Amino acid sequence: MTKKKILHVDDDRLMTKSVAENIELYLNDYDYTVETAASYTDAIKKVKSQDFDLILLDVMMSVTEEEKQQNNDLEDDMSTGIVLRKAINEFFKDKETKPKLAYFTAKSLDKSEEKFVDKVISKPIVPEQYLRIIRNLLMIETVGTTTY
Amino acid sequence: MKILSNKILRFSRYEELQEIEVAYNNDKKTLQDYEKLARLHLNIAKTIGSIDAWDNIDTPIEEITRQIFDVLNFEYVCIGRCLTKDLKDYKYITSKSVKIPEHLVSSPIEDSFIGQIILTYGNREIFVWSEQDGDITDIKNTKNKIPNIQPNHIERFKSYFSFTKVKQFMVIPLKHIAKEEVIGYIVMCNRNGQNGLERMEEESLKALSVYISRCIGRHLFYRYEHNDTQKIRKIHNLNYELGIKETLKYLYDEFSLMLAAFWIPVTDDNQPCFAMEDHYHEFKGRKEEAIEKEVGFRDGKICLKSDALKRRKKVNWFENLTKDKLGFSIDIGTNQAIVVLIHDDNESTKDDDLLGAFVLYPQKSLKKSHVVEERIKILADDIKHYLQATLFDRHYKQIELLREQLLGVDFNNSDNFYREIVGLVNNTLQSKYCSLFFANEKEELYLKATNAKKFTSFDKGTLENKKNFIAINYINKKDEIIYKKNSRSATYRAFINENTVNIYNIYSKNAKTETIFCEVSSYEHEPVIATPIKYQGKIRGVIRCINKENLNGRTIQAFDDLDIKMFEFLAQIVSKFIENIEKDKDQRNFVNHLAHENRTPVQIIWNDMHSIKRRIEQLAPTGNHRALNKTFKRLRLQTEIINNNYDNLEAVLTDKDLIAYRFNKTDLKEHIYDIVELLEPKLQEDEERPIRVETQIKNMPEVYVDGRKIYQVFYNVISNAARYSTYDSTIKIKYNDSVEVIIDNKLVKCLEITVSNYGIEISADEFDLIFKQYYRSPIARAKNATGKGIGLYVAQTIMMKHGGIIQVTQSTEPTTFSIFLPNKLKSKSPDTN
Repeated sequence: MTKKKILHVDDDRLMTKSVAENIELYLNDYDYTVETAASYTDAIKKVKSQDFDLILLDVMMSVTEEEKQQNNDLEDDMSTGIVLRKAINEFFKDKETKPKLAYFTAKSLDKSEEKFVDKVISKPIVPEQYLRIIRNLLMIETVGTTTY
Repeated sequence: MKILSNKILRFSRYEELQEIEVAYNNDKKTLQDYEKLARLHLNIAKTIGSIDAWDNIDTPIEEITRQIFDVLNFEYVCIGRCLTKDLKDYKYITSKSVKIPEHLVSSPIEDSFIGQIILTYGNREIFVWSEQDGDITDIKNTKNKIPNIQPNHIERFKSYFSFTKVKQFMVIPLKHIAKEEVIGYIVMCNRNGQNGLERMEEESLKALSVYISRCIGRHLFYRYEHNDTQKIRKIHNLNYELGIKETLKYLYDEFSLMLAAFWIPVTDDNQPCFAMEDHYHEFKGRKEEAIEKEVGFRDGKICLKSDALKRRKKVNWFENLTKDKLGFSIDIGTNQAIVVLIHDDNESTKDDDLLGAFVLYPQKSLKKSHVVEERIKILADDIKHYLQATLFDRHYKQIELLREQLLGVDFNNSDNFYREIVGLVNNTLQSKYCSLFFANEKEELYLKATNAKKFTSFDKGTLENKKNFIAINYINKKDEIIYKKNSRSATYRAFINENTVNIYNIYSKNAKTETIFCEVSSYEHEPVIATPIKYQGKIRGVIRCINKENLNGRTIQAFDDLDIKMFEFLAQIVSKFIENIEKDKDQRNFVNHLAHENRTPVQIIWNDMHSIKRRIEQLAPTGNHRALNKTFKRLRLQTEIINNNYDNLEAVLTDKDLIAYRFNKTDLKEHIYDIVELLEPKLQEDEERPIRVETQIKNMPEVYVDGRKIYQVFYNVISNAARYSTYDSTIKIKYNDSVEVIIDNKLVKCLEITVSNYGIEISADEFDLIFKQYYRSPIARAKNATGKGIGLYVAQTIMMKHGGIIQVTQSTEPTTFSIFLPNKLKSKSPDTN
């Protein structure tokens, strides 16, 4: 059984910790590893260097001045996740395999943004529900690969 | 007797008698003359006395002329007036033998023979010329010739006498009593049988001239006042611009001017100056062109108007002006000007109250006249009333227009709001473009809204466009800074100095401004006005207008002081509106932010509770966790209440379409079960007498709704039922298929979910009220102090967005609320996706 790798991007480390703990405690029918990234730069670095099956993205994340200078799209904290999503899509544009993408956010998104990801999970959500969603997202992937 | 007879004998009786007869005849003649003159005086006095001020003066003057003609036996007598260039005859009487040449009283004054005499020598009481001496002399003072008689006049007199049959020529000026000013004249020629006037006759005529002067003077005064009033009354019916035009034309004609102009005060970059509102003249061709170019603007410090302001008089007569003092660089054929200041208030001569100034350029030959001044003074008062009235009217109309337009602005759409605001200010101020700039945190200005499409950067040195900007690329972009700190532009100065900046022409090299971001227009001359937008005690931005639209044939292309007042007033109103919008926006942002911030801790609490539960299960797999589970449920409910409170608050403050609804396939049953489970701790508050929930919802189909929002609806309604239920009662939640309800006056087929409970009855008049924001029924308030009257309002708002409705379908126990969702939500429809 291949190890499923999840990247959870959220600048709130307590959030990523508690989510990782739940995945670890409940989703034990597969072998999951949860990586976390607390900033835009951190996330980009990890996406480019490692393979993930699922990436969970927060939308509102704080951005440093340095990051703003490097990337003109990063205006304020309000839409960091969307900029990140664009960068990830761009990175996987010509790749054969792509990770699943899901927003895990408390912010309401534009409808147009929804179609760029596989799922939008709105916070707050009871852990049973988001665990089920995560598992479903990864199961479909599994089914897909077996058929292939 | 003897002595007497001796005496008689001593003298020749014939001689004696002859002497006596001569003396008698002389006396008789003198008496006759006296009688004649006395009768003349009496008749003239009668005639004058009979004149009514409003009558035509021609007939009585003719009568007087005839009396002088008859009694004093002249061949020609004329009485005329000479107030303006037209030396107008009231009447002349002439015998057939004297032919009066036309040019005797022709106009203009410098071309008329008599005009020249009166204007040149009119300060004398009476003057008489005769060709008898072969020279032109005052025959009463033969030795005392008229001083400084001009050589060309002598020639003209000579040719005049030889050309006509006129041998004697007498002029008596008619003078304004108080001011010693010539207002008319009596001309007499060729006395029959006599050479000139007797002393007595002369004295008598002098006295007569006083009567006649008075008569003509008073008559003229009334006549003028009457005419002027009539004219201004007509002007009152016109608008401001047309009225000024008409007034100028009237003044031009009445005072035989070279040019009449109206100037208005303009504060250009804190320096007072004047701009020409309108002018009237009859120059043709090149000269006219030159004036059109020349007039327009004068430096406030050196112009006549500022001289007039210093004098603080209503009517200021300037004589012997040099060319540049006239306000024109070209020769307009005069060297004098009359500046009439029109102040807003009668008593005051403060600069602030100046409505404008009429500048009249009379002909060179017009002597400074008190009568004319007096007349202009009275006329100016009439005009002032007209100006006050029309300006008030104009302001009132503008404010009224603004008020009407403001009512039509949609304040909920903030992007549109700013665009509408600039359009509205633009209309009201009658400018070409209006732009609104906002300041960022660093006190730099960016473009918030504009009605212009293109901007340009202009080099005043080379008079060339340096760079073009497309407006849309700058609108509402905080990082596209247009005016950096320390910018010398008018707009930035208005912002940083917190006052209005008005510039007559930004392209002028003298204008103290940079032209780095100007609306592109076809005008050469560009006035600009900028004023700060201030709210909550802080300057937030600048509103700027450029170019005055040429409406109603308006000559002035600048923003005048009234515009400044108007603009500042507008800015205040606009600021107030912006303040409200921004405050509202800030509040929404704050609540949104707070709601968002709140969700994270709730999520973490839920995560951690979940982890704890799992770990305990792992540590003690066989233990009894019932009590623990209850604690967890209570915790979850309480965090859910916090969460829901924020969701409600957000829904109330952002119910204006700010957040789009997302319609997804949703299983409502699950929501209901979740909520019932969630509410368990509340339902079992009293463990002995729990509140039960019965559900009959198995047949409920899945629907396309915004799941999260509909969850909120169910949560609000069911938790309401739980809150107001009496212990040991049952809440029933039922599903009904296909029910018809009237929503928005239309019959709609709906799914119905009813929630009924025992607790409080609702009175009929409260059916609608309970869905109003912050309404709580008196009974509800008595029963539970924690509700805030928001839940049902929010639920109703959300239902409306789904095309559904919540209603009270039973007010007696069990009280029943029905949630109606339109049938069409059962399938995915294009307009709900």
